Amino acid sequence: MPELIPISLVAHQAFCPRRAWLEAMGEKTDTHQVEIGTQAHTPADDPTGSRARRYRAVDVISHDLGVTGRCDTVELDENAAMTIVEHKATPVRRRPEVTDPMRIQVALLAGALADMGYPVSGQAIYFTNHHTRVDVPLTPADRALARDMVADTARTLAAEQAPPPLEDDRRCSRCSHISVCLPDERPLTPVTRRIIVADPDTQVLHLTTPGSRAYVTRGRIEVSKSGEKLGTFPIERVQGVVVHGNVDLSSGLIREVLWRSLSVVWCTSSGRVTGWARAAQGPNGGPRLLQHVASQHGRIDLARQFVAAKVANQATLLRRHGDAPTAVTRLRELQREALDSPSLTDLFGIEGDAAARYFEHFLTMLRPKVVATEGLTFSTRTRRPARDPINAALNFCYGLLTADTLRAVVACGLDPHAGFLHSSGRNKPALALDLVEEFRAPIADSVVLNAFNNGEIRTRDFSTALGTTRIGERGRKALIAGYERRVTGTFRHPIFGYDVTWRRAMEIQARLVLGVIDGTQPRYQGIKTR
Amino acid sequence: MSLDDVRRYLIAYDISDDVRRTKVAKKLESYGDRVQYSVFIVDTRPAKFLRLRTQLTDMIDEGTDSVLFCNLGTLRANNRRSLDVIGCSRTITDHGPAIL
Repeated sequence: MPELIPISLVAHQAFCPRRAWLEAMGEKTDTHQVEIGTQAHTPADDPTGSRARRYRAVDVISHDLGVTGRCDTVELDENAAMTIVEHKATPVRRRPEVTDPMRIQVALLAGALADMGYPVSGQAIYFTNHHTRVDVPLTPADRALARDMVADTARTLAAEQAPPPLEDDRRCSRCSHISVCLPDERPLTPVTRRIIVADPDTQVLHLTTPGSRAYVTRGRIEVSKSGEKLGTFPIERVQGVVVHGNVDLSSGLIREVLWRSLSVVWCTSSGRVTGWARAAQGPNGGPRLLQHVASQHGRIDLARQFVAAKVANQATLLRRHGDAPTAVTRLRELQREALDSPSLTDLFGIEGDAAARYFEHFLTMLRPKVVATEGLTFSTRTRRPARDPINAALNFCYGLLTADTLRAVVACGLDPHAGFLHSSGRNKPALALDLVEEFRAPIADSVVLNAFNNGEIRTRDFSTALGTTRIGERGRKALIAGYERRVTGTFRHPIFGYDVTWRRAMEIQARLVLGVIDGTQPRYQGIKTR
Repeated sequence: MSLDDVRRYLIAYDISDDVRRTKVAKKLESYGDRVQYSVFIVDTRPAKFLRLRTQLTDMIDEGTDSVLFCNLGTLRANNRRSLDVIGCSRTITDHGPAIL
């Protein structure tokens, strides 16, 4: 027996097949429209609100139509004939107009109720914002259309690939899923119409005080050390938590953060990502399986873009701040070579060659006066152990960046482990590291350069023992602050042409990867700053 | 940072029942900051504000209690004419880097 389809999904399908797909994949957005819609249903969603001649929240099911659903209100007349009343919130500025998806929805509700053996005499839509009730008479054609739409929905849900987004359609401007659907970004060209995706009013909380303990009390995250309160933060303002080094988290706090579908990332005090926690519930379980298949087969097209964008951004940063025109010219050549690279091995060669040239001239991007007074040296990039303060600062910022791309990957339901450039077999967060590449120069390197150039961090914030340079607590906080200012700051997106925060840009890139995997995105393109 | 549609609200309540008052105070503390015993500052986008408002409506007894919402405008406008406090003032969680 085929699975029954929720009537609400059929209504979404009638509005836009991709919307039905996104809903079925578990994509949730926190927008004003959704909130208003939820509120419109609240009084009708409570069976205890029923009266003698008016039933609320009546569940219906029909195996004939293949649907299940819930009627907001069912009214009885003197002969016990029933009228279905569906509650809808429509913006007051728009007319209370019955749309096709609404018509299909009430047709299915009426059909299912009749199928259960009850006499249905009519159906209506109640517009909560207008306090207006509009009767919806149904014709046999409406009923046939509703039945066809159920079949269409079943096809959408059974498909391997996501339906493509609508192209330049007015429906998108009032769709709550625009921020995850990205209809205008698909062609990878400048976005001409303005559909505003709200920036979140939430922040990423960094817990950095060694030996402190964080827990939830009275709806706030509180941090204390040795019985002394260090600070609190309202839980509703949290977008994610990053733990640096030796900070203790209460189980209640972790659970609360996961309940909210947010994630926790643990880093060492030097910036290496040790692990993360993500909610069990998340979107895009199906595409995640396809991601593993794609990762297994390899996608050189994605890998090329990651490397080309990385090299391009290194060249741009060096051109802007440094003094090495020949190196910039060579990096530009390597950037083009990366796009035609035949294999991953060649790509790694190009990446290594570019990194060597870029870091050779890294010191020229720092102000000579700062280099002299602080006694800064930088010969080569040393990951672990870091040999000098610049390397230690870079390591730390790359860790912050990885935490952010991890969050972006997890937010759109992908698996951080199945990558396309980095090997998935090495048990590293390969996809998160893939996405890090194009953001290294414009975010992390730039934050480190600014921090040194502006004197926000100095050599005395680091300590060196047995050849290993470590960053101290003050320096860590200064870098986190610089990093957060950078990622929450806006820039003109080089592909889409609109102003966007770097953090949102990371999520868009993760969603482009998702699009390539689920079949809606023809190709991926990395962000290349100009 | 672009916080264009984030608005600042001053929220005050008058609730006699201890249990209901504690519930409302806790809820408001999870969204914003307590600046006086029954006065809160909450910075939020419209969607979240609507959710908070509904949650509070469900908590209070509309016959005896009251909650007052005062829209102080967008956050950007507020940064220029900040709140003026005499005496001991409490901190309001800012929108810069959040490090504890």
